[in-house]
Amino acid sequence: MDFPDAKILEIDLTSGSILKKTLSSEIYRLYPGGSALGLYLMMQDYIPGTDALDPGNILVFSVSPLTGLPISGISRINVTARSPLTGTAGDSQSGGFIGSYLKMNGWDAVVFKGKSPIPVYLLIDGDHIELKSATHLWGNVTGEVETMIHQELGNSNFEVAQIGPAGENLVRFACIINKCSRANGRNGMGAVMGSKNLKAVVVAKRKGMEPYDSEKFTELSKSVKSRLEENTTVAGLGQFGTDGDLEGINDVGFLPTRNWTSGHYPEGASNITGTKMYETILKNRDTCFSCAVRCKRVVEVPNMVDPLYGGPEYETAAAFGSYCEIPSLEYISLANQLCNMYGLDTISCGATIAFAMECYENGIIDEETTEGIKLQFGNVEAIPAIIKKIAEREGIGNILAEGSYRAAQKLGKDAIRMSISVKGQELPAHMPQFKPAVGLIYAVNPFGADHQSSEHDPFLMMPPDSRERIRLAKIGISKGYMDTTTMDDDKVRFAFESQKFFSILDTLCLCQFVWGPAWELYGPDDIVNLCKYGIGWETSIYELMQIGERRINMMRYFNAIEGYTKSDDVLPERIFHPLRGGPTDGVILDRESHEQSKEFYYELAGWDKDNGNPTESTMRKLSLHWLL
Amino acid sequence: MKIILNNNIVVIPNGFTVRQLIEHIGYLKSVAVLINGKQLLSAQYKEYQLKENDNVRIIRILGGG
Repeated sequence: MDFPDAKILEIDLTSGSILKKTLSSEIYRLYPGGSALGLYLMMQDYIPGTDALDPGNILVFSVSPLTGLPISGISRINVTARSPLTGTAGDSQSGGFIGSYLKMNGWDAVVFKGKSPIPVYLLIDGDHIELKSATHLWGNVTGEVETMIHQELGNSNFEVAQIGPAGENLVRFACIINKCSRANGRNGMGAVMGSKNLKAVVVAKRKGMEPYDSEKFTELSKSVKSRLEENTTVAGLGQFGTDGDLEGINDVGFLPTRNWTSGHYPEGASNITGTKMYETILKNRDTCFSCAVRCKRVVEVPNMVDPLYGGPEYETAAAFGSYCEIPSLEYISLANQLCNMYGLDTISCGATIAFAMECYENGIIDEETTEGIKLQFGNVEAIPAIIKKIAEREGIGNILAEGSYRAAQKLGKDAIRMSISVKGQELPAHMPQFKPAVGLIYAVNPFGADHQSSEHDPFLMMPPDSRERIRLAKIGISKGYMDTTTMDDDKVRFAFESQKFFSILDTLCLCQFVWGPAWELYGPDDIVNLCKYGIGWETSIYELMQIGERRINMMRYFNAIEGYTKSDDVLPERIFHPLRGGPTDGVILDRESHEQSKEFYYELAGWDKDNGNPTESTMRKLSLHWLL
Repeated sequence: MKIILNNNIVVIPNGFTVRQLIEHIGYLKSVAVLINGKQLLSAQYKEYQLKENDNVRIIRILGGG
């Protein structure tokens, strides 16, 4: 079977025009969906120097040729635009159902240009594409808006990806929410929607897609049952959610605590872990399209937390819990709910509040500035109050809505020391001191610190006959380690090769808990088979890895045009200073080793050793000459 | 019999296998196991019987998400 063409919707929000376009299979195969397709489409018309919140920014929702097939972990939808948080190429993925339905309606991507004169939402129902007024929806929180849209359209057979008030108010870490509980969380894509007066993308539910080779595809799909039985890591994710490991991470002393000054939270970790959630407030386990893992949490706290808004992930529990020293799953769940109502990224929001707490305790901001909120670490009451101020850009919230990096620049003194961010994006809850390869990717990743852009160091400690090591060997990573903290040339290769692999996942819109290069349910060989049985795409690991590398280089090239260099690939200074307390008291990330690893990474990536940007030959090698 | 598990002395039944020890301490996800400084293969967990005074290190693999 030939590789398919891509069907693209192009919406000019300024004029209201709607174009239906086709991208040829020859090009689509180079950028087969998700983030790579989003970048390709964005860079067709992007004018260098355009501000992220200017109408000239280009926003793309995209899925892949595989999306909508009936198998676990295939639900992701990608959003691409220049990021208002980092200023770089921006990129964010979410699970749920809307991506699958977008594809089932016949569309691979939706490109938004310009700015609507009034708030609107886009309705997609097969070939019926319509911009509808959203003036009556503007200002409402996500739960209310979803209900209003369903009532307006006469039934609930529509998925809604929307911004909340935070996106409308251009909070730089505003996200896009679907099902009131799933987020294209990172990089501030919600603010880009807000800047375009685009409240929501609404997609009609449709019937599923038929695989190319039904018999073999069904075999692959049904094997999920036995894979779950024998894969305790993924089964544990299903049972206890992503928060299941929080206590273990604390036990080894690498749970970011008190705005990353410590790796140990003895007073609170056991209260905020996934097992505690399971035993106390968990109401249900939710899932995404066709997925058997069911890792999504649904929690309920009477008179406090509504199950409509899902439940906290590990990142959320850490960002509002240990970062802010809030030892309460109830308040963390409330924070999660407020972020999902207002449309805020929980990582950046929690981390920015932790930053503000440290500023408060060091006298950089005071009670007058916070309008009476005592913003000390551990003050549970402060969290909901500050979240609302951020979403509404009210008082101190107007400064914090810029993200911790820009807020630090406005606050002055030594506040910048307290912003734990890379390229302006706050660090997720995996410490480079424990996982130096992840730390390397935090530094060099084109869109700021991200924990889902490469495999994590500890899996290299598994025995050579383990599932993890056998799979990693298939992408060229065969060396094992007796600890997580060693950083050498082979570890840099691990970081880069696994980054390319994760880049495939963000392109094919596959979930990283189900598909991946190590511990996941399905490994590298399975992805090749998925492509073959699913759509008749005869591919190989080689082609896929090159696609992943192409995407990374497109982003890096975009950044280069905007003036970014290796001088922006910098971890926060705090990472190189001793942690305080617990089993990791005094532990640092070795600066010299980290710097050497970056230099080797640039060499491996084929990037200029002086400025860290892709060389012409690297671009040409990856068929990106059209960008030069 | 006594063994040293992650720097703590613990008492386990004679003939306890590595797999039984992992289940006993409730580590449900992927682990690496070192006995007296030498790493075991995954295939050995089920059959490997621990001996008196073995120095055992069981490492929980803490990944992403």
